[in-house]
Amino acid sequence: MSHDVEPCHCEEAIKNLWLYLDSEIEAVLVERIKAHIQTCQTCRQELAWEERVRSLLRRSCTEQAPEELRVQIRHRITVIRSAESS
Amino acid sequence: MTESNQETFEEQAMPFLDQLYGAAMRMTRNPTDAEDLVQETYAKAFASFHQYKQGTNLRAWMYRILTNTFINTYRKQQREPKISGSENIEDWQIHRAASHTAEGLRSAESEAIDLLGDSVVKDALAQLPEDFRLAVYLADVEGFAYKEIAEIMDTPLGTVMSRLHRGRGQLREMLADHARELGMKVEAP
Repeated sequence: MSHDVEPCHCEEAIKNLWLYLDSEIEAVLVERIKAHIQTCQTCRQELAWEERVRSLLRRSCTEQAPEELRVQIRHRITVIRSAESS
Repeated sequence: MTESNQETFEEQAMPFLDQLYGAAMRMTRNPTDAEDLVQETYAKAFASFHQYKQGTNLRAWMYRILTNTFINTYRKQQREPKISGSENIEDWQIHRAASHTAEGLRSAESEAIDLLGDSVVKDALAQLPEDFRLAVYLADVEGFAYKEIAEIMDTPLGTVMSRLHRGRGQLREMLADHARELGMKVEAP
């Protein structure tokens, strides 16, 4: 396996990486980026980093609403419904 | 409004409670306001449930109400976060990403980043300007498409992409710095 001596200058790939991961990129570019990533260790590392960041964000930002909030909301909805019916 | 209407609403809308609370926590940055915001959101959603078209994207509809309520109620009271957007950050981020990978730092950062605690991550998000923070949250945590984010935030698609690009750049910069510090501590003999 050849060693990556030169940094990857494919700024197109990095710029498009987010679009690619967001599934917001045109089909034509998807294949090109996929093909590029297979041959470029630098971009593969960038991709791996990005996927880890997103995974981390999802993990850290998961919240559970307090049970009292659920109860309060149900009560509030009932009040609204009663007010509308009267 | 009928009982069955309430039942339908609860059946369809209550499953989003945890997610909406999570989003509210990122917006308001404190649990009390987050709870109030979510409660208001559900109240408004129920009151205007007749406007919701069955079969369309209820989740995005609820998030739209949440965002709108936040802007109208809480936004004016918020302290401005530290970081403000800078002009050419996009080019700079790309250049930085390129030079970073050149130094082989990326794989070290990738290894350390999983070790970051939740509060570190949430604090970093909290430091982003509100519009950036929200766009990043909706895309990276909730997985909304750009078009959905544009509807939720009531801004043009181009604005969403700009906020997302800049917000992600700033956030990843902070996380990379933390990861690198952590990596250095972990490596130190």
